[in-house]
Amino acid sequence: MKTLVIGGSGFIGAAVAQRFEDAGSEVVCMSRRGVAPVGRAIAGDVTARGLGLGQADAEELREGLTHIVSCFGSVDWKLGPRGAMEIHREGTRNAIRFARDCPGLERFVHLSSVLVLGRAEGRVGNRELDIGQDFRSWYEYGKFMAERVLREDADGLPWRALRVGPIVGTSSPVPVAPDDGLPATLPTLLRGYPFHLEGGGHFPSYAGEVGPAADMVLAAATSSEGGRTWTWFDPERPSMAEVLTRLCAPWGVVPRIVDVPAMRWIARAASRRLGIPRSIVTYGDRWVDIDPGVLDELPVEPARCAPDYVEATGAALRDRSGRAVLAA
Amino acid sequence: MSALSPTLDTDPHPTFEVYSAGNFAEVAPDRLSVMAWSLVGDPVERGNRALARRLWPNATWYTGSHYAFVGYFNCRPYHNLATYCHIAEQLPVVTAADATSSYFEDHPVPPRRPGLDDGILARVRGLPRLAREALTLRSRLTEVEGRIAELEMRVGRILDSGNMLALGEVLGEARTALDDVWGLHYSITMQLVPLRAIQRRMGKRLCEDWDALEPWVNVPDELVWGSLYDTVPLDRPLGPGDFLDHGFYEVADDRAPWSGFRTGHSAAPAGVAAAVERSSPRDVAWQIERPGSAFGLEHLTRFVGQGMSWREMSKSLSMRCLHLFRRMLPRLAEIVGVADEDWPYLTIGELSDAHLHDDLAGLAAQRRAACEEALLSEMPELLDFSRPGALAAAAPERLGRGVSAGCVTGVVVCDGAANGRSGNDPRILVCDSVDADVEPALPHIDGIVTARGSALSHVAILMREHGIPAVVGHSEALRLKPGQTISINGTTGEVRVLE
Repeated sequence: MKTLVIGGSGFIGAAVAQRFEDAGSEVVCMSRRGVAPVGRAIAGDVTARGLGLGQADAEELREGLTHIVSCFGSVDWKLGPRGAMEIHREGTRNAIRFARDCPGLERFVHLSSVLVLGRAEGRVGNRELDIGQDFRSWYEYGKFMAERVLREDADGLPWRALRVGPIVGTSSPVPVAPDDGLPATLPTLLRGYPFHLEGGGHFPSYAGEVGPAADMVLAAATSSEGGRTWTWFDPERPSMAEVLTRLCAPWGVVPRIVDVPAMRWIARAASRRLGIPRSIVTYGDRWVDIDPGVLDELPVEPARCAPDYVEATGAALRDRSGRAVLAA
Repeated sequence: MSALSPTLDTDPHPTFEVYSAGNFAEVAPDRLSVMAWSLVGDPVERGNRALARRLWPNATWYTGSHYAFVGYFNCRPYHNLATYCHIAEQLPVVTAADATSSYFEDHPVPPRRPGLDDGILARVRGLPRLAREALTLRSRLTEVEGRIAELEMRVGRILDSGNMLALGEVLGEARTALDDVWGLHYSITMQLVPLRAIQRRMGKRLCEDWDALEPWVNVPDELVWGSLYDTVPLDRPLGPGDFLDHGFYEVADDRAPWSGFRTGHSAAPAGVAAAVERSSPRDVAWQIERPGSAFGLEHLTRFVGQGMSWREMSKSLSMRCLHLFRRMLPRLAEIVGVADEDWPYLTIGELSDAHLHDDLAGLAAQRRAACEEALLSEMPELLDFSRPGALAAAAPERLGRGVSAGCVTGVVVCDGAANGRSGNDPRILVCDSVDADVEPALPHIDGIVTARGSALSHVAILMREHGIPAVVGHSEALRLKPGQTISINGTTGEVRVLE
């Protein structure tokens, strides 16, 4: 077993690489900087044809390659259309092209997001993708385009997509970034500013822990059962309000979560001054309603998360850059 | 770049002294015949003045007793750089640089003519008229389209029946239609300058990163050329699509030397219309960027998209109208006793009023000799009658400009090789310039780099229509060799040679 983890130097990619190595696979991590917390490192560029690899490197990499896990992508809240299209859409196209030239490939796993469904109406599951939904950020749109490319361009390839929600936790060799994903809300929450969450935030956050998420990637890569698209999140289904509260707990701060739609407009108008990306404000609205049955569709037991993984994430962020986060 | 040859047959405009090869390269990869120029340059010049007259009825600067470029030998300007800059300077918010950035490859703004009224009142005065002009564009386009369609049917019947008496009457109507449609094209082209300038200012104020967003949202509203190629029967003589298999501007494109200047893209295609992408970046941009404040910007952007479509629509109508002349002129020459090989060297006015001229054959012979000489000289980059010596200025080194967002890595192909694809490798068309007649090649290419072109050139609009990454106005483009692997970024304008 030989696995290429594209984006293996990132938070989730490194955890995935670790799982594959633990499972006995030879692991090659590709990243722009050519660094690998786990396995062998190779420098590449998903926006370039052939993933930016030289011919010799590409041939050597393809030799005996059985699995490709596509974990790359920016989770920057400030991602613009260019990033969405060039990194997520074109990057996925290039990864698919590369995979087509790997004769021994057994599985191509694409790490997707539940956010591909944007602000879809009604209950949705694994089958739905292009359902006329609205998007709140270019990140959502980028992930949507990547999955659409996968469905449209990867005919004949043994692909599988795994959708996950916001991933946090401390069990990756690479620490979670303080300004991406859920932690990006910390500067606002820790300052005690009111944060609008529709219905008080009692809607599912679809959050999950990085280690179990990596377990699910491994399962998606090695299982011969199950459909093309899997969805996984913390089976306990913590609500958004609960996740944010637990994230702030290590600081001894209880976030001021309010259900005041006007706050959304105020926060958006003041986003520059508050130092938070505008698009983050729209995440206070209710998220897409994902059919809880998607966990039952998994051909393996859904991975369980540690009871305190969100608090542990907050504590790690506090220990690493607590003052900086507070002062951001 | 060489100085102008002595055979230059150019009358400078009394006010607008600067002309730019600029986007004119898209008109004629090399030269146009005298006849073609009289059907292109003159009406556009008249359109310039008509628009200025409508916007500022009391100003005098649009008047002039004669038109520039009555003859057309070794110069190839089409749109008048100084006119665009001048009109832009007469509007609030807009600057002359907005005009050069839109259509003239960011060429330096020509010197302002002293003594013009550029007070704030004069600038504001034109604005409501410009808005009124914008509101009538759609209906004027529809009206002129109807007239051209009717003329196509009439010309077809006349040529079939051999009733030459009716030809003179139709010719007059066709000339009027041509003037109208070129005037309309000019008006739409000019309208896009202030619209885009205002849009950019609003965008920078309201959006987090307008520069990154702009290439994704400024796309034409309708797929004009794709629809034309896909839905119009190409084989019906004098049907609306008959012009598509001809050199666009050249009415004498079936005879030497003009036949040699045709680009190799024209073909009878099938299924080239770009699929309208669901959930395109343009569709979702306002879901992400709009909430609240960018409502006006969204609507302005939709109007810019409409303007882009109208510009292409008016261009296609101009080409349809020119095609009427392509069909009529040989027969007209026969009627008025002008030799078939001579009429491309005469203007439409000279041929129509042949009876007023003593020696058209001698005039044609003189121009033929001048043309042959002119073809040996390089085209001037800029014609500047306001600054002695500026004519021989070297062509500026231009950095590429990304005009259709996206990035692609692929193999360089050049003009003719673009029609048809072998293998799955992405292909990037590299050439001096292209016009909308590149459309049939689009299914076979994945990116384009041209040496000429600006933000609102036809190629830019066309590529945005199809979502194909494009970099225009790159000085190094013609140094790229077929077979090289390059990477282009249609957002930043970057072109990298990889192999």
